[in-house]
Amino acid sequence: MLSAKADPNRKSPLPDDNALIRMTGIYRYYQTGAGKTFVLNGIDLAIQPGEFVSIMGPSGAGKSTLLHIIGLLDEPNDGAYFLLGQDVTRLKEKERAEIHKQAIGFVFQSYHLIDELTVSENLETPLLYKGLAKAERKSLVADTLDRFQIVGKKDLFPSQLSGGQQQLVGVARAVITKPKIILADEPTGNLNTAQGEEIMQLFKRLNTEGTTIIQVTHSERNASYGSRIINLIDGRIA
Amino acid sequence: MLKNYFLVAIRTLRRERLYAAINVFGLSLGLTVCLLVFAYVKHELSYDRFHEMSDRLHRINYLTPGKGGEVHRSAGTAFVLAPILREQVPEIEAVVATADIPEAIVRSRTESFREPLLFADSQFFSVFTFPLAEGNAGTALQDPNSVVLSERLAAKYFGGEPALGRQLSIEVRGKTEPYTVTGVCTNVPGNSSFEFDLVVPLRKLYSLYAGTFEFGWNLTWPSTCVLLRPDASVTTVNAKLAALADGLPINAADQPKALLGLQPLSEIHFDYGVDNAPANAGNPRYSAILAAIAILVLVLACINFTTLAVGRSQTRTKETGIRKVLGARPSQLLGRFLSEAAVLCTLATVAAFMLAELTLPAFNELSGKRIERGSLLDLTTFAGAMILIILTSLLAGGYPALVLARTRLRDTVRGRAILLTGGALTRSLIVLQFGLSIALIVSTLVMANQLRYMQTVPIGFDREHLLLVKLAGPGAEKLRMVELLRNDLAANPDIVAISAAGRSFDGRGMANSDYLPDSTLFTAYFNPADQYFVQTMGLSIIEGTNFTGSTLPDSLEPLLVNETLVRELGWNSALGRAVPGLNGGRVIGVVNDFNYQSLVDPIAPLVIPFANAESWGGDVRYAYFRLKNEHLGRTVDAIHGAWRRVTPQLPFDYQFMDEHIDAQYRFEQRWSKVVAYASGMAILVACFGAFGLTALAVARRRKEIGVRKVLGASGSQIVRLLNREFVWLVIAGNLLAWPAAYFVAQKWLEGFAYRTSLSVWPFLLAAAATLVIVILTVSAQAVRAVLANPVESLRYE
Repeated sequence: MLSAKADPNRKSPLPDDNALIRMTGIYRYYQTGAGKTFVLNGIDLAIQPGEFVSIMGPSGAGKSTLLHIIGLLDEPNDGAYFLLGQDVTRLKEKERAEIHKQAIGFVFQSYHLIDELTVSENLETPLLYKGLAKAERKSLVADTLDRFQIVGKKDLFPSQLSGGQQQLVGVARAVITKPKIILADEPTGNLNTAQGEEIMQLFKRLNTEGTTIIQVTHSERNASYGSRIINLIDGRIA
Repeated sequence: MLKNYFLVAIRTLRRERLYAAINVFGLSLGLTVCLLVFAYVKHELSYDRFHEMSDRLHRINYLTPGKGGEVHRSAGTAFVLAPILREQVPEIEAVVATADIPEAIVRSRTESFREPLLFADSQFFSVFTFPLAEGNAGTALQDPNSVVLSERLAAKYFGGEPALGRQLSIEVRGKTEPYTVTGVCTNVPGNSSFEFDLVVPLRKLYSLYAGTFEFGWNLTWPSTCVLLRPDASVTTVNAKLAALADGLPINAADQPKALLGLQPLSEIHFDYGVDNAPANAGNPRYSAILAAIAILVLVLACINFTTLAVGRSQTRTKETGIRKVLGARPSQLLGRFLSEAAVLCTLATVAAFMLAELTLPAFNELSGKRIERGSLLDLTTFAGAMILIILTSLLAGGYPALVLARTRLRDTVRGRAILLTGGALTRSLIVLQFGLSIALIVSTLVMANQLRYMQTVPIGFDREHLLLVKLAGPGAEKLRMVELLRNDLAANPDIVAISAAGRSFDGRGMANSDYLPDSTLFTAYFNPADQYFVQTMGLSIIEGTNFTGSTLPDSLEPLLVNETLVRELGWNSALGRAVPGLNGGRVIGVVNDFNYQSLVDPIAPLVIPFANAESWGGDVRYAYFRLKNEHLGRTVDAIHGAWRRVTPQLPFDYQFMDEHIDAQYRFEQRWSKVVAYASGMAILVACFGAFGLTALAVARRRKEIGVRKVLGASGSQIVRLLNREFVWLVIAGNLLAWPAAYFVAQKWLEGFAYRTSLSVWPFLLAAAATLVIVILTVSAQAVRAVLANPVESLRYE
């Protein structure tokens, strides 16, 4: 039987390498009735800069939860997590917001664009939170629109775009702040094959340009774009 | 950043029009009431501050120590006081005494009008700031037969022509004299304690009343105002006045010694408790009640805002989550949602300003004030509105913003509904909302009940079919007119009796207060009348005889008194006794008690002195006609005909007694209307909230409703399902409101000497009304959900 408290020695391993992400003994559980249901059951994981990692596994294996913990959207119940050499297990809301806007870009299965904003305004939003000046924002948005070849769509609202185009904007928004890491939760889940293909090509290109990419996927084909596959079964790395 | 927020806010609101409309409408309703009440309170506080020297203007009050340390204050002073103040208090720069009479008859060209008249010292227009459009302020009231008109009256009498130098004939107490217009003043502002359209020198009053009154210390009538020198200190002057009063016979020798005291002019409006207060003096409590009602309606609208915003949080969570993931700090998220609230509030405020402008005339009508258009559009109101916007935004948007900003990221990104919609807070807010509405409805019903009661309860005489016609002229003339009318109409079978009497039963009238040997204050009211009064009113003589049976010598005035007077003075038999303060008369009969005053007060002692040409005739003001039930219109025409034969000059100014009596309850009627409007608005706002929340619940439960329909639920079952929650909330609101409403209604009713009992009906009615309204509101939304195709609702799952 696992105790809620893990071995204290595992709590603070020195980040003796230059791993981007280092996790040791990560547990995540939910209180259900009499006992606990474990979603993550002792994950040890290291990801180096420049990797393109695919997290795979059957439904309920804990893929999304792991990605959320990596992206600081969720906190582990136990274990140690170092991101960019910094202990991020107990962060304040403000510090977390700081890491979000500096280091991490998110891509979601259902795109999660802000419905009330146009394409270019959606792209501009993370730059606003970064505190960039107006001129700088404008030029970055223009560059990005150019680079993703969506200049013609810049004044359209998300509802006026196809799913593939929305996801393209979603990726563009994730990379506009030049994050070190892109976290993608089933980025092609709502797309058809051709659209999915396009997004994966895009990831591949971003990866070769130096961005670390971690994606959750069901698809072997998508995983084949990556450099490493992590198989998750019942909350453990297989 | 702000631009981004406002952009999203505006686009969100455009997309969710129903939500925005409910919020803007509710808030603007609340804000409109706030604006109007703000203007009202500002108006009340601004009374008499428009005088350029208002900080140096004071009223002189008599301060008479009474029983138990209380001080009896009176603003009615003696005519002889002003000259003494002028002479003996060097700190006083000017003294202005004023006295008004309710009615003078003004004849211009061929028409005649009844107008109230103000008598004022010659410095009136130089001390107070009532600018003259024509004429010289310093000299306008020099000549005794001069008159100053307001622009309103000048226009009424002379059309557009210049009024200065024109002649008017004015009749006061039956004496008609020509007066020359020496000035036209701009119309008196609505926030002035002095209200006048016609000013005549005070000196004139002495000659008009010569022989009637002795202008000594016993006659307290005018109000005396003083202008202090710029360097004078109020304390010093008060001390000097105290010393001065000590040597003056202000009160009669057998009464407690009175002092003199200054009261700043700017304070007299709210001092309704002083004797001889201006007729328009206000009770600050009503400003407070109005402000409370305004804040209440605004809070109700804010509750809507909060519950609706919380109800919408499902759609909001996604945006919040995205923004968080993009690096927004909590404070920035708060800004995002507060900016949406600010946009709504600003819209609502603009709408409220327009609504307030539109409803100002109706509000003036309701409040009985003359608040001018412009007073809504000045700087303080704008500043007030800005503060209101900020406060409302914080109040209404703050809670949902805080909740959303604090929501856990994991939940927001998954778009998981945060279960706030059924939350305890939302529920308690809705219960509170309905509770307040119900309490207001109960109050409205109780007030209406009491008003109806006062208009129908037996008051000791038949108030219907009693016609009152206003008389004018000297006393002997008035009595002769009534005699002539009686002869003229003697053959008319529809007229039972005709009498001359002093009181109109509309609340005004003569009274005399005197200290009894045990130094309690005894007040008796007077209604001088002739021998036909008892028959005309349908009273019965309980003891003694009517005036016709009087065996008193001519030197003594015969008096009738009511039962209350006999009881209050503790007399065993009233016959032959003198009423305190009225030594020249003797009681010859006692009549049964009847309510000659508002039912707010218990019946007070009444004296009916016999009116003849020698005494009391001048105080007769009405001819009373007791009519039969039939042919009312024809009878009034007959009386009008007789009137024209008897006095072709005088207008036939008539009213039925029940109208006079209802006029006493103008104040209660006004407030019952205010509360009725407030409850209407409260229930409207609450229903808007219920409507919006149901719309949200329907949206949220789309899938559930779809599934239930697929499983075979009928339309009515689904409507019931959606209604169930609200019905419980309304019931809870009732349980909350009833004790509070009971308490308040009981307190209000205690203010009436004659009152209905508090029945269960207002409570049941309020409950039924709210339930029906809410079920209709909710069902209107629910039916749409029922009619939707379940396949549509389930497609996206």
